[in-house]
Amino acid sequence: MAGEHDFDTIYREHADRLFAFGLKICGHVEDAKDLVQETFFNAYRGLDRFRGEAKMPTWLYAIAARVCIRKRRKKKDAPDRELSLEEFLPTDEGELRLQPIAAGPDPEQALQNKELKDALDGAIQALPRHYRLVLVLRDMEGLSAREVGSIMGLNERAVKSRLHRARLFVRQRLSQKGIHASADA
Amino acid sequence: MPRPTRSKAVRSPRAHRHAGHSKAQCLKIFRRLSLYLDGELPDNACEEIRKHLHGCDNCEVFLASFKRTVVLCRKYQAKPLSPTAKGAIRAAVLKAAGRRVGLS
Repeated sequence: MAGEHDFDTIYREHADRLFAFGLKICGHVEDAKDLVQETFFNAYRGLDRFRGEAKMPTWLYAIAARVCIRKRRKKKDAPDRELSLEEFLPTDEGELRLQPIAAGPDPEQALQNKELKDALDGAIQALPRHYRLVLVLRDMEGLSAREVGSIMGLNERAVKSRLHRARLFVRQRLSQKGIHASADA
Repeated sequence: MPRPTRSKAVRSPRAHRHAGHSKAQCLKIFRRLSLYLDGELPDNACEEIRKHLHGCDNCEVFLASFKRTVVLCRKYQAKPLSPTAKGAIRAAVLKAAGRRVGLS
């Protein structure tokens, strides 16, 4: 069984990251804390079998993603719907009416705007979970498509396809909220 | 007197650049936007997209908001885990694992 010292190092280095991941996936602080706890419990039990085949963060994300998927199955919610490209196709007239989203110079500053941040949170939470996982892992946690694929059991092409649909979905939701170019802090 | 310019967002559909290409070409670009943004297309495909964007207001506006969406996702910072909660979770994990909860 892995020593507490190894676990403590891993926990100290990665708990914040896993919490951030959990918050983006679950949308609620308490659910994110539960995810962190369950992930690290599973990691603790599996640590002596970990041989470094993947980077530590990737290994932890894989455990966390399985926890998410298992929780969802237990809830017996309706299956996640598939997103089609067609539902995001811009129409000539529609696209010309929509404002570009927060086209100001500084995205960090733009995200200080509560309206935009809430809209982005809402859009991500509205994504069907298997698209949300890909978007969060790839665009928000910064993993490569290959790493995301190994976590989700998908090939790179499938990861990129889901990512594209997830991005289109979020973009459409933000546009529909009418988030404007000069969003003030 | 020069005619006043209008923003792309309010220009009438008939006035926007569409350089003689078909909607099918716009769709082809649309499907590959993520690959384009992520630098995963070969040079000739990128050049094809750039040429298309130069001649199509719709796609140019769309790409701007799409790119911005991706940047916002990448820059998003979640609320941090409080030190108290961090300690409590560690203790709970070790307790569940049947180990003594010591100071780290």
